[in-house]
This record gives sequence, structure tokens and C-alpha cells, in this order.
Amino acid sequence: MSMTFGRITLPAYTKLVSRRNSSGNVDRITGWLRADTLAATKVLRTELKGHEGHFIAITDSTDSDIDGFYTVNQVQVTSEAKTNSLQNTGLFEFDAAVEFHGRYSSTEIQSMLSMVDAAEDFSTTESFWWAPAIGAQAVDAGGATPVIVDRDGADGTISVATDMTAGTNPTWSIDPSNYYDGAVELYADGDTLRTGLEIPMDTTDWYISNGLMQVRAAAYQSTSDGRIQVRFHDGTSWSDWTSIYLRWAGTNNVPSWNFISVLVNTPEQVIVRLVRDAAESPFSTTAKHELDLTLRRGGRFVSGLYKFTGSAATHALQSTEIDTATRPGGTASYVYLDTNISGNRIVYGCPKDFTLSGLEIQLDSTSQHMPFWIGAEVDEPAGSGNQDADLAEQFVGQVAETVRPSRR
Amino acid sequence: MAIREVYQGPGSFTVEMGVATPHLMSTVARGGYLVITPQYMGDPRGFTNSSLLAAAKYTGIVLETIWTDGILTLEGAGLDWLLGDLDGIGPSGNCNYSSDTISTVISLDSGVGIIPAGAFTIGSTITGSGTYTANHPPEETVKEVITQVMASFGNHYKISPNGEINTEATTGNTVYKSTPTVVFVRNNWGSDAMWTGVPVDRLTSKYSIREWLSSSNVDIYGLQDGLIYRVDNSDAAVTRTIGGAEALIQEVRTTYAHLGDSTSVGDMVYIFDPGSGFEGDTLIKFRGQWLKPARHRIREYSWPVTDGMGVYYRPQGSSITISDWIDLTQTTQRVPAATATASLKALEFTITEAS
Repeated sequence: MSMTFGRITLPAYTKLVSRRNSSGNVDRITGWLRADTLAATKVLRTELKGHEGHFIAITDSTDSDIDGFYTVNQVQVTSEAKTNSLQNTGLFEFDAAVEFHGRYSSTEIQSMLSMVDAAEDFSTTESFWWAPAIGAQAVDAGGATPVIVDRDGADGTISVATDMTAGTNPTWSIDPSNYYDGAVELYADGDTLRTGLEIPMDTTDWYISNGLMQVRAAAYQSTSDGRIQVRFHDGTSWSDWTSIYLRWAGTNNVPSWNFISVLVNTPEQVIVRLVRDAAESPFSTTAKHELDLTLRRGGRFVSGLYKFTGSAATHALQSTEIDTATRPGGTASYVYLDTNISGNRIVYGCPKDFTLSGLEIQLDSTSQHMPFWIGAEVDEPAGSGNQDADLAEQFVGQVAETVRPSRR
Repeated sequence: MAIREVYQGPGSFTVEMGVATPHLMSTVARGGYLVITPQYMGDPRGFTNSSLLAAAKYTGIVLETIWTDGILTLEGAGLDWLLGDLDGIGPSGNCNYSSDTISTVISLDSGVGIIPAGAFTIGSTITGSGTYTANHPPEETVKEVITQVMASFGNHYKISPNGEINTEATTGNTVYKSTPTVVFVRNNWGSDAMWTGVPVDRLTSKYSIREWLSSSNVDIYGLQDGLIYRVDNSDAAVTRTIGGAEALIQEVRTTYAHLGDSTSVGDMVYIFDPGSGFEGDTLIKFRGQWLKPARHRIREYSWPVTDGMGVYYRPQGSSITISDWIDLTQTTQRVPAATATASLKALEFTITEAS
């Protein structure tokens, strides 16, 4: 018997109290946390707490009656030292209070979307885009008629609605067991899927995946060396990793990151923040580098925002491949590598005016920050909506999402 | 810990920061702006001033910063406050109009209008039938003038989070939703192809002395005469705006997640709960039932800052760039939308405003 509780699998619960009152169903699940190792059990403890306040899907292998959508109201884990007990060191007793919203057939999910144009020096037409979970049905975008683009990835084919009308808050439905298909996932601490924001993380041991692409910090001899690495899935296999350096003032690679924290960690999007100090020569000592990375469900690019708190400079982005790059039309807001990697055209761009020299795109005017994006036209030449120019439009069409359940 | 938006009023907000935000003392100050987006957009520097403000759900002015045991609380009011506060203090509405149209009156005071330039911009919807004639002395605030102008045209106005002001007749459906899209019910709530059905936790009906007196009520001897209603200038204006037909303050309490962004202050909504007296005349088809809900305008809407919203501080200044914005999202105390309470206040509306 096992229960899928949001993004984790609870090995066993001992008691499920189902209660209904005037404001709805409030269920309480209690039991013992136990994984293969003590360390894994501790991960479960953090994970369970990370679900607090979240809208989640619950499925149970032996009691499908409880399959459905819930909000986690409260979670408590009691760790008790006890020799010769479970795992020989202690007991982990959990107690979760969840509110039932509805089952597969009775729950409609609404994606609340904020659509904002990214600031840019080019005149790219924005394309606001959004993707529900893989397998979503009865998708209703109101009166809007977005253009649907299919993308093959590790979790299957995800349908992405592009060219969305601003102000659209679409509704959709999904089987609870498929709710996390195509979701953005944050892995840390040795390939462990992590939930919530309070995660013990190492700057070298993490990656974000949405099934279509993955992004991570590159590590050289187990130390983060500051590069950002990405790879892409074409429905069959993952491509090779490719690396991009942030170049402070266009002259020095930003080296290893000191800290990583999680700003947002939902199935719709993950935002992580990397920070390092600027103490190393030749950087000044009273400033820091900060990098926010955002990956959304259904996206084939990662959005980045590099910030340097010292004096403004002409920052840059540079691929580390041995290759040449092309800037379409000589003036586009992005460049691509001339040699495809695993059949994919690697694209990176910046919404501020920049100059391409070699593989480096460098800001034309000094600034304390540099927004950028790294993506790929997978299996180049790709169809409409998946081409390099389409990705540039989708970067400008920035969307943030929260979801809310509703009864059908 | 909530934002209280008031229909054609300043309202108020109280937003509490978490612990460990000491660097805010020097940067977040009175006179700056609190900007809340419905979803967290990330670091503001990827956007522009105008695009973020256009996407905002709320903009307020920080009027008080309170430090309690090292925790910062921001308090303030909505942009309407810049027209003049409810005590009659604010920019002077000194102006003379003679048979002028609404677009002459509701234009920037850098020209012939009464709207303070710099604080506001004029939106695309400035309509109203008839003309306006009045002389307003310097001691009247813009707020007092605009209230009388609205009453004269049978209009109402809205100030968007980006400072844009729009006005139309109270029967219009552009500035505020005159045709409800939300139905508050006790049972059988949920989505519908036509409606958003929102469950109600609590319904309150309340009388105040003003409503009592303006609705021709009688005392325990069956007499009206013993009760004299004192009306001052601003009260008279308020009474005119809502047609003098107010009777009850209705308060609806629900869970924020159920409501989402499906309605906002000033919109008309349906409330159906016949057992509590919420029943009207219009027949609607809602989730397989035929209902006759009461129709109310949301006069006040209090909502919490929930997980997933973006909270930003925009300093005051003449040349603010997006780099000056401060992202307060991570330090603001937010609550889960699923459990947070939202409440709406409405007034019974029985006058012919119904479309």
C-alpha cells in the first residue's frame, strides 16, 4: 500500500480520518514516515512539510476512493529518538490535515495568469504562452484562440498554448495521477525531487527539469564553476549538455556560486536564485553577483536575470562551445550556434541592445543587470512555434501562473 | 494583514514583513508605493515601470511604517487618497464649470480639468451624458468635487493600479462590471460555463444609523419625526451617489481561493441565499438551477496577500526606473490562498440602476 501525496510517495499511513463539515471535507492522514535509509526518511520529513499550503493531487494504490485534489492545510512530523526502533534510531510520526476539493471528474483547475511584456530594446512582438499538465482535457481559454504548439519531451508530448490574449485565465481538467506530468521539477541533494522552499541545497548538486529541458550549474572537479548548463529532450533522448558563461563586464567569467535559494517551486514554475560575492580578484569586495533562473512548464528556454550590485558594466553571455554563432539579420535579439548539438540549435538572447563578437553577446551600454534567455530549436528545423524566432517572442511574453481548484 | 479596497474610496492596507528584513528601514519609507501583482513575476528588473504597473492588482501609498519587535508593517491607502482624504484635506478642487462635458471636467488639471496631473493619467473611457455647471471654491478638495461631478452625471470612476482614471455611467459595463459574472451561493457552488460560483462562509446584514435614517424607518412609537439626520457636505454627496436607497450593509465572507481574481471592488455580483433574505428579481440559470439572486455592488473588498502574489515597493521620485523597485515578495508574510479569508461588503441596491 502506498499513497502519492503531492510529489512524494508516503510508504504507509496507519490512519485516515475522513470528516465532512459544512465548509467541506477535511481529511487527516497520520502514520509513520519510513524510507530505505534514515537520510531518505529525513528527506521525506522536509518534503512533507514543503507541501504545506500547496494544492496537490493525492492517489492511493489500494484505496482509489480517496484519489483527488486537496490543499494541505497543516503538516506535523514528530521525530522521536528511540533506539531499536524503526531504522534503529528513532521514529518519525506524521500528521497531515488536508482539505478535499474534488475528484477527477468533479474538479476543474483554473490557471490564473499574469502576462507582462519583458522590457526590451528590440521591437519583438510578444507571444504569451502557457501549458497545462500533459493530458489536460476540457481546456477552456475563454473567448481567446491561442495557437497550440506540441512539444515532445521526456514526459511525453506537452501542448503549449501560444499567442494567448492577455487577461486569459484558462480552465482545464486532469486525472489526479497525471497532475504532475510535464511539471517543472527541482532536483537537489543527489537527484531527489524536492518540494517547498526550505531545502538543504548545494550549489553544485541541483537541476531543474520540465521534461523538455534541464538547467543546472556546471561543476568542475565538484566545484561550481559559474557556468549554466542546459540540455534538451526531443521525445527520444536527452541531448548533450552545453554551457554558457556569464561574463562580468564582458571580461571575466563569473566563477563558482556561493549560495542557492529557491524563490518559487510549484509544478507551474521554478525560480532559483544563485548568489556569489565579488571578493575574488579582480572584482571589488563590496558587491555581489546574483542570478535568478526561471523555468516554466512547457518552456523550451530558461529565463535568466543576472545582477551585479557594484558599478554598472557591460556584462555578457558566452557559449563555451568551440563554434561560431550567427545573429539572424545582424540585428536580432538572439544568436544561435552554427553547429547543432544533438540536432538542436542552441539559442541565447538578451532583450537589451548587445553586440555579438565570436560567441559572446555583450551589452552595448553599462547596466547593473542583464536579462537573458537560453533555449533551443529542438530537432532543427522545427515547426512553427518552436523555431528560434518563436522562442524570442515567447521570452518577451513573460507569464506567471498560480492555480486554483473549482468544482465543476 | 489585508488589502481593503473601497469603491471610489481610498481604502487601506496593512502588509506585514517577516523577520530579518532590517535593510528595508532605509529604503522602504512613507510616501512610496506598494504594488501587488496577482502572480509573482520575479525580479522587477526584467520589466518596465509601466508594464508592471499595468499588470498590478493593487497599488497603494505607504503612509505608515511600523516596527514592532523588529518586524516591519506597512500601512497605507489606495491611490484615491491622492485626490483628498475623507477629512476634507487634499489638493484644492478650485474650479468653475459652465455647461461643460464630462471629458472637460475629468481631464488633467494642467489643462482645464480637476484631475491632478502627475499623479494620474486619463484613461480611454471618459463618457457621460449631460453637462456640468458649478463653481467650486478653493477649500473644496478634488475628492469633494469629483464626488459631486459623479453624482451630477450619474457616473462612477475607477482608478487603476497604474494611476489611470476612467469614468462612465453607473449602468455601464466597461469601467466596472455592471453585469455580474460571479454568483455567491451557500450550496451548489462551482464553475459554470456562464458564471463563477463562489461558496459563502458567512453572510452579515447590518444597519447603521445613516442607513436607518435615510430609509424612512420609524422608531418604537411608529414615528419618524423624532429622528433628525444630520447631513454634511460630503455625506450629502455620498447619499446622492448611491441614490439614497441604501438600506443594509451586506457582508459576504468567503475563502480567497474560491474567488481568485474573478471579481473586484465596484463590480456587481449576485448573491443567492433565500433563507438569509438574499433573493432578487432577475432569473438566472446557474448549474442546472433557476435562481433569482440579489444583485449587489461590491463597495468594499478585503483580500489577503497570498502565496503566489508578487509584492513590490516602488519608491517615490520623479525619475524612478525599474531598477529602483524593491522586491518584497520573499519577505512579506503571505498566507495560503486556500485557507485565507476574503470579505466583500455591499449595499442593498433597489434603485433603478439595474440594467
